[in-house]
This record gives sequence, structure tokens and C-alpha cells, in this order.
Amino acid sequence: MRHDQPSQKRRAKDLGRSYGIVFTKVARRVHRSPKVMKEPAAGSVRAAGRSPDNSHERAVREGRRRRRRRHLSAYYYVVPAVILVVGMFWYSIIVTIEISFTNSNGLSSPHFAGFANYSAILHDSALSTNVANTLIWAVAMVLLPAGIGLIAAIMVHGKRGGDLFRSVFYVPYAIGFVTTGVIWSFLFGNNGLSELFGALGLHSLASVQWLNEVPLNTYSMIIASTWQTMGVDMLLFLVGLGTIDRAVIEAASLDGASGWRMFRHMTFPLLTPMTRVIVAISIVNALQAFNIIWVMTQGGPYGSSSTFAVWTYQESFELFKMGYGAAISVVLTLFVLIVSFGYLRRSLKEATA
Amino acid sequence: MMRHRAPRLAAGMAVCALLVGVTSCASASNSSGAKTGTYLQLANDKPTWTNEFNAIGKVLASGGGTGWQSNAYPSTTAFQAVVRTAATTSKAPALFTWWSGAQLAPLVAQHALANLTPEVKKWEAEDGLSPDVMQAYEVDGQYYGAPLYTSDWIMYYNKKDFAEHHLTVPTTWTQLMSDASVLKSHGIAPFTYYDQDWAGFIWFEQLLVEENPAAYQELMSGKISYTSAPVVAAMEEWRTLANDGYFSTPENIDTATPTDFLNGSQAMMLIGSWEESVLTHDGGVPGKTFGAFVVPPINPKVGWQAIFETGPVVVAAHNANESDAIKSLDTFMEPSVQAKWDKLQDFVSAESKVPVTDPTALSVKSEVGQESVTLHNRFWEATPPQIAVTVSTDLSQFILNPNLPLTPFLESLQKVASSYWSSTGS
Amino acid sequence: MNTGVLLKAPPDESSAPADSRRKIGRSNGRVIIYAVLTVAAILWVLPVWWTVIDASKSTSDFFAHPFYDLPHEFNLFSNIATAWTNASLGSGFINSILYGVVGAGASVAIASLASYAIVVLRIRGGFTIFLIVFSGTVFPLQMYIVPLFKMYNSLGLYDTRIGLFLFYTAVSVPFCTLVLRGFYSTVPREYREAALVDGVSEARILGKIYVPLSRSAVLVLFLFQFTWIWNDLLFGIVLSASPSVRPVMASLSSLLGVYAGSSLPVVLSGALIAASPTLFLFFGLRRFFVQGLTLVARRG
Repeated sequence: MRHDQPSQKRRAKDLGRSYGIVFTKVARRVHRSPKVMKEPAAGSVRAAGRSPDNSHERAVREGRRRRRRRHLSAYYYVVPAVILVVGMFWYSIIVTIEISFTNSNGLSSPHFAGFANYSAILHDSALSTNVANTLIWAVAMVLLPAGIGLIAAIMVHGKRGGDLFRSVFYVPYAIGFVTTGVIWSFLFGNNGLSELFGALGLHSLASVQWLNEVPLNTYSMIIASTWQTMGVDMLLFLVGLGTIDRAVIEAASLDGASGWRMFRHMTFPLLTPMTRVIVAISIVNALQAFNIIWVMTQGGPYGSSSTFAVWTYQESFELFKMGYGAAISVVLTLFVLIVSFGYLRRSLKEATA
Repeated sequence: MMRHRAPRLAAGMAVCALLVGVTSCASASNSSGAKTGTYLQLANDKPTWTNEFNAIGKVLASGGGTGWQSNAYPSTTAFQAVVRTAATTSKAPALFTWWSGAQLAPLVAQHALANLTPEVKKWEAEDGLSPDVMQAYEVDGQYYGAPLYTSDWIMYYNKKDFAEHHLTVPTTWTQLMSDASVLKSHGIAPFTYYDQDWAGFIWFEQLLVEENPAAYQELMSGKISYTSAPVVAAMEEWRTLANDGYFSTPENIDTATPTDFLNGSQAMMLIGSWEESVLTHDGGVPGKTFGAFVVPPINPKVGWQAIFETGPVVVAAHNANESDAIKSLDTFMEPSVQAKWDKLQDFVSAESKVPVTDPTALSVKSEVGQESVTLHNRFWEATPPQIAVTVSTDLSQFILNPNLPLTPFLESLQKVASSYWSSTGS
Repeated sequence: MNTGVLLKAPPDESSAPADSRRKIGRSNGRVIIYAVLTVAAILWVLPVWWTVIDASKSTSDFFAHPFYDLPHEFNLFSNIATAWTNASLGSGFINSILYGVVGAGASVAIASLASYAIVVLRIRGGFTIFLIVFSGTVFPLQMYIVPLFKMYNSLGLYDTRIGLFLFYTAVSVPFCTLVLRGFYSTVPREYREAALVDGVSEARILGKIYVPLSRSAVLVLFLFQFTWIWNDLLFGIVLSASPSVRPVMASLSSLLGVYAGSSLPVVLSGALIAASPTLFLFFGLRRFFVQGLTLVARRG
């Protein structure tokens, strides 16, 4: 491997020059395997070619002190984010939790009701439908847009005409959920796809009541939602694919890997950070599926397509049982928290390994 | 030190964003109260009426009066949430549209609405305001709203379908049924059908009122039960109609366009007369493409019955501009202004002094002739919302499955009703 | 990463037939891939295509013929004009552009800072802080309307542009933090360590290394957040009242509704107009999405 070291050095120098920092010291370590390179800074002092060991401890101590000082001012970095999120949302969450223990109707003074709302949830006949629909949405919206998006991203990546495909798949998200709801409500209505199927001679399909039959109405809305958001996941995966160095892939393909094996052993593992992001956000969005359901069926007919997110909105703003609605949203949030935190905690532990 | 540049950078960005916000604020006129001049905010959930509201608002402001500026919320639930939250505070909008009947009571109970009784009495005396309509705005003997619109629920019919099959406007229930069966035998769906949850009550109220109007009123106020004989009779009539195939496949009333009605594959549409502007927008011509008639009674002894709906403009009691708001309402109820409003919207005023110009209303009037039509407030407003919303949703289930077991179904409706009535002790 | 596994020894003669087999297999695979992509693209584009042609029809044309027919007369521009005046889309447009740019831009910047501290600087309690920020998205968003309405009223932020700037930024920060956190964790730590050894400040490291490396992610996030803010309906109408503050979707939705509606062609043309900025933004930024590190690798 010696013969290629000068080119690596040159490359690193170019990199360094472009960022105004000299990278020569990094160049000497570049031929190590990726795993070794992830190790923390301990080795850098030595590799930096400084004078050996007697000043090494001093350098390490100084490094630690610098790090501690850095850490204090590092907290400034998170301050804007924390202030915004806590100020905007946490106050509202606390207020809502408070309301969930009352019988508030948004108008007259509320009275304390203890856990009455929460036990009412358990006895509500709508509970099972909502749980079922919420779970269907969660599973479908994690698998479908992300799965199709991943496949699309891999297919589109680096191909000619990829631009065109990217545009086609992303446009649905750009037009917004109101318009998506309008379009698909029309298509699933009596004058939409049914007419098309009838003209094509597919009469059994033409007579399907897409938004009225249960559980078909949920699946129909999932189709609309997948159509809308697949482009987002695809773009995120493309970004993730873009971070994978082509040299790595080329090397692996010269080794004999291609197609499925390449994907399974190289591409997919390297995509893990992005995959985790997409799965996390899909879980959260899916469990909170509200906008498109509200625009298309409003949880109907007869609450058959309602999810927890729709249920909490209806109880609060149509039936004016704000205390009950607040309790439902607290239950939903707890569930989302448990699922997403559990998932993210694992991903953080691995990322810092 | 350079190390602290990033936090400073963040602070700098925040300041920049604030500056952008502040300067763009300065150039914008943001007001939640009075605009410059004499305009008051009219909060409403009817965004498609924005232009008409603003037009009539200009009329009201002319001659030194107080005008209206529409502040429309495209989402009814968000609108109600905002109004209910703000209603008891000084931040309540000066004027807002609301619902009549049982939906006024909660706001009145919180002293959120201005009492308009003296004005209403004046309008009844001077402008011929209909006391029947005003009953919808009465809470405990006092009045709290001015009617913004009054729509009757009538049966629109496709003139071409009727002409092609030699049908005339039915004046009896039997005739209506035979018309329906003729249409059905020619492959035309006699009646349009809607399945949106809130629309479940449409045929329920109509059939009950045509059979036993007194029972309808008693049911709305909780004096009789959903399991009582008149209700059962109405439900069975409804089921017969459904099983005879007289209804089209249900459509979403909020998003569906009246395509099939206008092109004749559906012959009749039971809907509020506010639908007329939708029909004309979509290419129908009143009197040529479609006409309307009052639904004849099932029980001829009860005479002509009709469901109506009316929506008010109300005045917030805590708003600083309360007296100006009431003055603007006063101007709005003048017959000349009412006539302009009717013209803008194809409405019919609730004041008898305002001449009727809408062709459909005129033809409906001529059908009924000299006989009087008893008006009943719509289910949605006549019974408290805690009952109306749930029962309506349940009735949608009946729409999708008219052959479900009737007795347990009606019992579940009654459970909803009695849990409300018992909790308020009335 | 890009300085990782290197070139191996060149393949020897004996694998030549396997090479050509692989080449043929690769071109077959490529045909299949293009075929599948084309089918999927057609399925995806059909509803958009129908929207465009239906928005171009006159009302009578729309009702007289099936929706998938081509328009018999091209009516798009007059439909757009009707939609524009009926819904007074003008002021909403300007407002939404402002909200989108400021909200998306500020949130990406704030999220970059926060992710940097959490992932790279590895501050103590970083995971907790991340969870606090991320939890902003966990609560059902539509339940915020009443508490936020009350809070905005008491703080005097109701019906102000600054109020909406704050909201849209706050709502976008959690997702951006999540993505950038994942992204920053893939950047090799050596760059930073070498730079530190050279005495470069953290800020410059963030600005000169991490941000350029994550350019594709930053642009994608800007695009997504701009689109979300642009398409927001609920908070736009709850937290504002006057037309000078209201975003565009509030005006667009006024075309829909039961009480008096515009016909579907007009509604759809209004929707297309309302979607144009997000589409333009996407088409403008497209090129930058997938360049990222591949640009760096080519320099060597």
C-alpha cells in the first residue's frame, strides 16, 4: 500500500487547504481501517509527532483542562434550541396535563376530577378501534414510505435521469396535506377512481367504497399519506447514500460484492444513522397521524378510521370535553415517548461506540 | 476569545431574526381589535363568504357607521376552540358568527354574549322580523343574536329528470314515493345521500318531522326518548326507503361536488337552501337545471312542515367595542341592507319587509301557496351539541348499514341523550 | 470515511469472464431498475397529472366529462385568476415566504449548534438535552392550539409576525436536531482533533468543517421545514387574525367548504399556485442534495 500514500497525502493537503487547516498529520494515519480511526483523541498527540513522553502527560492534562473549559461554553450551543422548545411547548404540555385532571369544557371554570378521565378512556367503546387504527398507521407509515423510499433512493442514486425521478416522487410532499386530502378525497369518492375503473372495465374495483368500508378507509388514507411522504424519506436516504464514499463501494465491488450482498453488507449498514433518523421520525409522525385523516374522513364514518390523535381532537373541540381530550393526548404522548425513546437510546449508545 | 464566537453567532442570528420580525411587523398593520376607521372584526368559520362579508361590511360603514371586516377560520373546530377560549376575556372578537339554539346557551351561561332583546323587539316591530325564527335565538326569554342567514331545508330536484319522465312536483308523500320509484326504474338514484358524521341527522329529522312534528320537538328537548314509538316509526320508514334502493351511494358532504345531481344521475337532493350558491357556482341554473319544493308530510294531517337552520351574528359582551358592534347589527337588520345582503348571497331574509327575489324561494312559496309552513330548528341546533354530535355520528352508522338491529341502536342513542339530560338536571 | 479502505491490488486475468458476466448482469439489472422506477413514477405522477388537467378545465367541462379526460378548452389561467381573487392569496404568499425562510433558516442554524454540542463536543447530559429538544414533536401537535393561543394572548404575541416566526422556528428545531445529530455522528472525529491540535476554535471547526460537509443535509432540512411551514394551516389560523399576518394556506382553504364553494377546478388551480414556491425551492435546490462528500472524494 505504500505506493499510494503520496497521493493520499496530496489529497489530504488539498482538503486541508480548502478548509484553511493543515491536515498533514492526519494523512499519516489514513491507511488504517475505519474501526481504528473512530478511536478517541488519545493517540492524536503521539501521531502529531510531538516530542515523546515526558511532555505527554502535561499535554494530556492540558487537553483535559481545555476540554472542560470548552464544555462550559459548549452549553451555549444548546441554549437557543432548549429555550425555544421548552418555552413554546413544555408550558403547553404542562397546562394540558393539568387540564386532563379536570372536567374542563374550554368555557366554564373547570373542576378537579382526579383520574376520572383516564379511567373513562379504559371504558370507552371507541378505545379498541382507536388503538387498532393507531397501530395500523404506525406500522404502515414506518414500513411503507421508508421502505419504498429506501428502494427508490438506491435505485435512483447515481443514475442518469435520477433528477427526474427525484422530482416526481417529491412533488406530492411539496403540494401540502390540504391539497393531498382534496385530491385523494375526490379520487376515492364516487366520481373519482371509480369512474376510471369503470371505464377500464374493472367493475368490481369501480364499486369499492374506498372511504366508507372498514378497515379499507384507513388503508386508503395510508395510500394517500404514503404517496405524499415517500419522497421525503427517499431524499433523506439519498443524502445518507451521498455520505458513503464511492471508493468504499468500488473496493467492495472489486472484491466481488454486488447487488443484494453489496446492499446487505455494505450499503445498508453504512446507512444506519440515516435509517435510524427516518424510523424515529416515522414512528412519531405515524402515531400522531391527524392532518390527512381530518381532511379526508374526520375519523369517520362512525369513528371507524379514527386514531388517537383524531380522537383527542374530536373530544376536545367537537364535544367540548377538553379534560377528556387532554387525557387522551397524554396517554398517546406517553406511548410515543416510550417507543421513540427506547429506539433512540439504543441508537445513541451505538453511535458513540 | 474565538472559542466563544459560536454562541455569539447564535445570539447574533437570533437578534437578526428578531430584527426581521420587528421591521416586518412595523410595516404590517396587525390588529385584533378595531381597524383604522370604523371597522370591527367579524370572526367566522365561513371563509367562502369573506368577500360578501367585506362587501356588506363596507355598506354598514358608509355614512359614518361601523363596518365589518371578515376574519375567517377555514376550520370550524379551530374557530370554536378559539372563540370559546377567548369568549370570557377582553380578547374576544367584537362580533362573531355562531350557531343558534342549544349552542347559544353555554356562551350565555358564561355571560359572554351581549343581550340583544331590546334590539330584537324593535326589529320584530319595525322590520317584520319573524318571531318563529327568533325562537332559535332565545335563551331564558332573552335574545342573543341577529339572524345572519336563514335557510330552509328543501328538496332540490333536477328539472330535466322530472321532465323526461313526466313527473310533476309532488304535493303528497305518496306522489313523492311514486316519483321516486319511477326514477329508480330508469336507473336514476332518486335521492342524494351523505355520510359525513355530522350529516347523519338530515333524513332522520325530516322523516320524523313529516310524521309527527310534536314528537320531534319533544325529542329535541329531551321530553321523549329515542326509543319511543314516533322515533321507531321514522327509523322504519327510513329503512324502507334505503332498502328500496331510493338513496344514492353515500358521498362526503364536505368535499363532494353536486356533479351527479347536476348531470341528472341523481334526481333529488334534500339540503339547506344555502347549497344553491354551490349549485350555481358549479354551473346549475335555478329554474332551468333545478328547482325546489317543500317535502310533503307523510301524515297529511300535520300540514306542511319544514326544517330550517339559522345562524346568528353575536356580540361579545367583554369586548371594548360592544356598543359599536350592536349599532352595526342594527344597521345590518335594516330592510335595505338586508335586501343587499340577500342579493349577494341568494338568501331570503327573515324580515317580512324584505321582498323575496330568489327564484327558487319564490317557486317554493308558490307551491305551498296560502298554506302556512311550520318551521322547526335543525337537529344540530335544536338539541345540545353533546347529544347532537354523538347521535349524528351514530346515525351515520345507520346510513351505512340500515338493517342493523333497531332496538339496541336506539337504546344506545337514548343512553347518550339521557346521560346529558341527567347531568344538567332538566 | 473517505480516506478509509483503499484501492486493492488490480484483479487478475482469471476473473475476466466473471467480470464480463457481471457487466451483462449489471446492464440487465439496470434495465429492470429503470422499468420498476418508471412504473412507480407513473403511479406517483398520475394524481398530480390529473390535478393539473382538472385545474385547467372550465367548470362545465369538469362536470360534463370524466375527470381523467383532457380539458376541452384550456382554462387554467382564468381559474387561477378566480382563485387568486376569491381567496386573496397575495398577502398570504408574502407572509408564508417570510415565515418559511426565517423559520427554516433559523431552526437549521439552531439545530446545527445544538447537534454539534451534543454529538461532537459530547457535553455531559447531551442525551438528556437531546431528548428534551426531541420531545417537542412527541406531543400531538394539534393539541397545542388552545394553550398556545392563551399563552400568545397573555404575552402579546397573538396576531404578530414575530409570534409566528417563533412558533415555526420552535416547531422545526426538533426534527433538524434529530437529522443533524445523526449526520454529525458520521463525520470522522479526526478532522476535529487535528484542527484542535492546531489551535482552531470549535466555532471555526463547526463552520468550516461540519457545516460544509453536511451541506446536503442542511439544504434538505431547509427544504423540508420550509415546505412544512408553508403548508401549515392550523397554527396559522389560530395564532393570527389579520390578513397581514396570516399565512397562505388559510387563504387557500377558504376556497373549500360546504356553505358556498368554488368549483373543484378553481380549488385545484388555487392549490397549484399555492404549491409553486415549495416546488420552485425544490427544483432550485435539487442539485445540491446528493453531492456532499462525493465532491470531496473527487478532488484527490
